[in-house]
Amino acid sequence: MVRQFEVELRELKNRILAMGGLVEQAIEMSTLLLGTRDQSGFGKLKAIERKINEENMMIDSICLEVLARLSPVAADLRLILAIIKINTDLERMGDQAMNIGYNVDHYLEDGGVDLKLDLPQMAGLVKKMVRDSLDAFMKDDIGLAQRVLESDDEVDQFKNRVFEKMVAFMRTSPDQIGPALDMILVARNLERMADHATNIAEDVIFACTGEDVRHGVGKARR
Amino acid sequence: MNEPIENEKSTEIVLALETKHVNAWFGDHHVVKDISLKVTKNDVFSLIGPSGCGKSTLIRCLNRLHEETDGASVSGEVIIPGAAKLENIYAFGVDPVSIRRRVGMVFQKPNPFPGLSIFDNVAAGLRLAGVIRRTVLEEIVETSLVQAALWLEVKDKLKKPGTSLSGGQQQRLCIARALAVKPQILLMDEPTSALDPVSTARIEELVMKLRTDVTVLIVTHNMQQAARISNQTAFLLTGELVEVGTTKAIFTKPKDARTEQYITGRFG
Repeated sequence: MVRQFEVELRELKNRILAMGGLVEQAIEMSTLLLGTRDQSGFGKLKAIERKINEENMMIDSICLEVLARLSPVAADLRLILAIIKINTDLERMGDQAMNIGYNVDHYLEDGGVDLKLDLPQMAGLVKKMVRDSLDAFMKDDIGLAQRVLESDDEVDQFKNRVFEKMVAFMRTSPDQIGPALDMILVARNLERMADHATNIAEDVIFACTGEDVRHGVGKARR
Repeated sequence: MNEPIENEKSTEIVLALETKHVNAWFGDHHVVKDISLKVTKNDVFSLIGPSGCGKSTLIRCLNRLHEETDGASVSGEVIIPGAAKLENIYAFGVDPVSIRRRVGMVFQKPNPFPGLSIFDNVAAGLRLAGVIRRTVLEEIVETSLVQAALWLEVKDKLKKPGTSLSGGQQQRLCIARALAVKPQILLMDEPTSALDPVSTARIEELVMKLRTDVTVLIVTHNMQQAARISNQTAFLLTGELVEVGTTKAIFTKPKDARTEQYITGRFG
């Protein structure tokens, strides 16, 4: 007999996966705005973010009900806790995609001077981290979760390069401080998304093993 | 024989009870198998496990009640602190009645003595122990009823029969009766399984308060109850001790796959 908890869990996992798909779309859309310089895409991004928020509330509501009705313990409890946290991380990533949308919108309004940054590559890596963290969640794949944790340093390096380049650029081109700041904020938002993906990976490890590896504690150190 | 499973405690413990290789039988049926565990003073210690796993039999071994059943037998040691030193309750010459005064018991169904008033129910154990002065009896009865969170509900009707109370009140009366003789340990065998949720909640609150005065061992089928009220939990399966540890560890990260399967409802 399939336990009621497993039925509810399957639904929750599928919803998390679908929400993750929306977040990937939001990241794609936000960085596409930068590549295509087409501000009309911003409306689509806003629509995706609204769906992410709706899904966020729905998943919270289901988790609340599962906790109240089924009182999960042990691995079941760890999994529900992980889902609640992953849900929040995904919702925040949606917000950050929107922030990028606003940054790019502002940047394009300011003329959109080409600053020759690695932002598309950085966005590609962040998207991969999001996808891998959710794959790890769906497949209980601790090894993949660990690799997501390791990718975070690479994203930080991308961000640092953007920061250094933009600070140098602002010194030489004080009239371009606005667009440079926008690009710093884009890199900052992408880097925060990567942090949320690592949070998800940490939650996967916790759900699977009970080991809390956050903040460099535990075996799976970054 | 199995090595005793050590409880997860890093600081030095004050022992309330220790079992060493306890076995129990009903005739040839071996129902408790080589159980060694330690219970710390002022713990609320839960015993969980599926029906027939031996948890009720085990606690009935802890105050020598099991041997009262025809054909039942026990081996091993149960150690509790005595006046001067640790004592094995199964040592030669130990009087089981004196042990039951030190290790009280509350049963699944409230069992106030029929025909006795509320006062006399609580005073019964004291009278058997030779306490006869009315003022002493009154003082201890009141204290015990206060401890059992029943005093305010019964102080004006102490002469009424114990059986006139509601089920939840009767169970608290039985707890007061057990507390009146000032036991070191209180054994509770599914004490709320016959009660409604409100009465259950009152008993649970009571157990958590009682731990300042007495060590409590509770057998429960209700795992959420174990999670709510106990700080140590042991999981038994087919008469064997599978795992013992802090309640937090058992309910968040059990070490043994069988514990995990049982508490998450995959079997049992």
